[in-house]
Amino acid sequence: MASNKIIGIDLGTTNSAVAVLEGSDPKIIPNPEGSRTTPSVVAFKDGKPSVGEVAKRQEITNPNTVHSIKSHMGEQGYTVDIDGKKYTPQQISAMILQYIKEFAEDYIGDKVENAVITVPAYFNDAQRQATKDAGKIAGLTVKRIINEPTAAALAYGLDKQDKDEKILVYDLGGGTFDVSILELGDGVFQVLSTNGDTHLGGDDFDQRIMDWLIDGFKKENGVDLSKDKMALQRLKDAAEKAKKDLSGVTESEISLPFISAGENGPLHLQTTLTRAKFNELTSDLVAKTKTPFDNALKDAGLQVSDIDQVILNGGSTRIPAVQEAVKSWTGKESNHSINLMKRLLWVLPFKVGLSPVMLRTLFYLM
Amino acid sequence: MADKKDDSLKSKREKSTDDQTSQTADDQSKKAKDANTKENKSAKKAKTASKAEHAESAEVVKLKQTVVDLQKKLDDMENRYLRAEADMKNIQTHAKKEQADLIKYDGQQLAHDVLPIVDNLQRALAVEATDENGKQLKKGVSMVFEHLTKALADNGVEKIEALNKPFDPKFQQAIQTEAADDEHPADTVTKVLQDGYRMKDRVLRPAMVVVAK
Repeated sequence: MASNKIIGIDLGTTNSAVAVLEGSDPKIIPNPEGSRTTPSVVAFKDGKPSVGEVAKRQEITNPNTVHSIKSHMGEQGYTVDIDGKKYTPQQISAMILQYIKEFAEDYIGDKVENAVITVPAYFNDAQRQATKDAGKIAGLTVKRIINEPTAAALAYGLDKQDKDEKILVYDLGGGTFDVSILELGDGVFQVLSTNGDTHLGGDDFDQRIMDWLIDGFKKENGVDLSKDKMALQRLKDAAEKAKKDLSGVTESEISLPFISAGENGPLHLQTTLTRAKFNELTSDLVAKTKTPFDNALKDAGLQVSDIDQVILNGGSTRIPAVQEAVKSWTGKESNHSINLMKRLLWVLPFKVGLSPVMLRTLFYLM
Repeated sequence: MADKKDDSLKSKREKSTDDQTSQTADDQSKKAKDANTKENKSAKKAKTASKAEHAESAEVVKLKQTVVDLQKKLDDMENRYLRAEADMKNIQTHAKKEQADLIKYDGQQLAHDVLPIVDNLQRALAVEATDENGKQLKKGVSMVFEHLTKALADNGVEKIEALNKPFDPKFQQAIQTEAADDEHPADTVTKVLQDGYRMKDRVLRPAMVVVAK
């Protein structure tokens, strides 16, 4: 008999994740590589698909590699052509879901049939249906499709209140920014408006640090690191680490020995990035979220003062400057009503690279 | 909360008494009925009788409802118990597996964090030494490097061989391509920019490679 467990799947544009309720705790299921998120990438080799990390690693050598398929979900007539065979976005997404399902089953030790999948609030009926279909192709019964901002609101237990409220969800992830206005009435959420920027996220913040490092290195040593693929890879890792450090401390040391070679031998990169400098480098990125923020309010026909609760979601909202900006725009502490347990869930995404969305989704359903 | 518990306990006890002494209860109810009839006879108003009957059937209805409620509660508890038991079993299975993994992959995080240092030592060794002093220093560093990689190997951390091998995304990450030649047909690794390492059956870090195209 198949397990009656329901898995919660965060089917993302760049990365996906899966969780299951274990006892009363939601548990993120690691993939076979031991990682808690799986790249939403499918690569075909000799007609056989591979998914995740392995697919991503061949992205630049294999033209038959498909990524960001989520952005084509529900698109009428869109197909990916692989060696003369056409695949719909549903079929590609199903391969990702199937891979996730398989390692989830390995973990649970039983067959899994039921799933809950989160989708962006702006998904229309066709996109939602396509997501359901993808689940079906993968052999999953999609019990429910949940809006990402709604799941975030559930994560904070906002549905448990008797008051009717207007909630603003500010979601700054790795590659996309979404802002949604929800209305809660009788424990049911309604999406009033949604807005965003599909090309703004944590990766842009990393890139700013990388650019700053490259500029500084060029000025000092006359060597352009941006021409060196391996150096770029190291810079990217270092930039991401510095960004995360700066959420907790005000200074981060970046140290990359033997990053390059000059006429007089090896060159090293060693510098300190302060939070103030980081804020300066990225202030326009934070400011860029203001227009979608304003538009979402306008579309909902609301003033800032009408908002009762503000929720921050996505790893990039751990950046202090982002938190401060949202606080100054809304005049509200974004986490004032969150208790310690919830706070923990809130910190989790940074630790494990997963939105609290799914965690609560599971809490909510079982 | 405590009151409720007491209530349910009480009704449970009452129920079991009912079961054991159903015969007696029947007799009693007969007697009660007889008593009622007697009472009826002696009663001057028929209304009183109907009131009594009404009261009795209300009692029965109430008891029946209690049975239904209790059965529901029991089912619910049984269901919860089964779930808790299944959950417990799952947690035990996972805990066992996790513990086995912890032992098997002991030191994985440490190894992972040490790898960038190995890389940098390797980069240092790639620098040409020109004078005698430099050569001796390099020799020393090279020996230290050997010790470090041996210590890692002794703990199950091994370098992934990639150079001139067919590109395998399970162990290698392509970060650049270059034109294929006689020596390197398409899909072969032409350069390793950063070594990859594995620990037992896990890839600690894929090798960063250049692939012929």
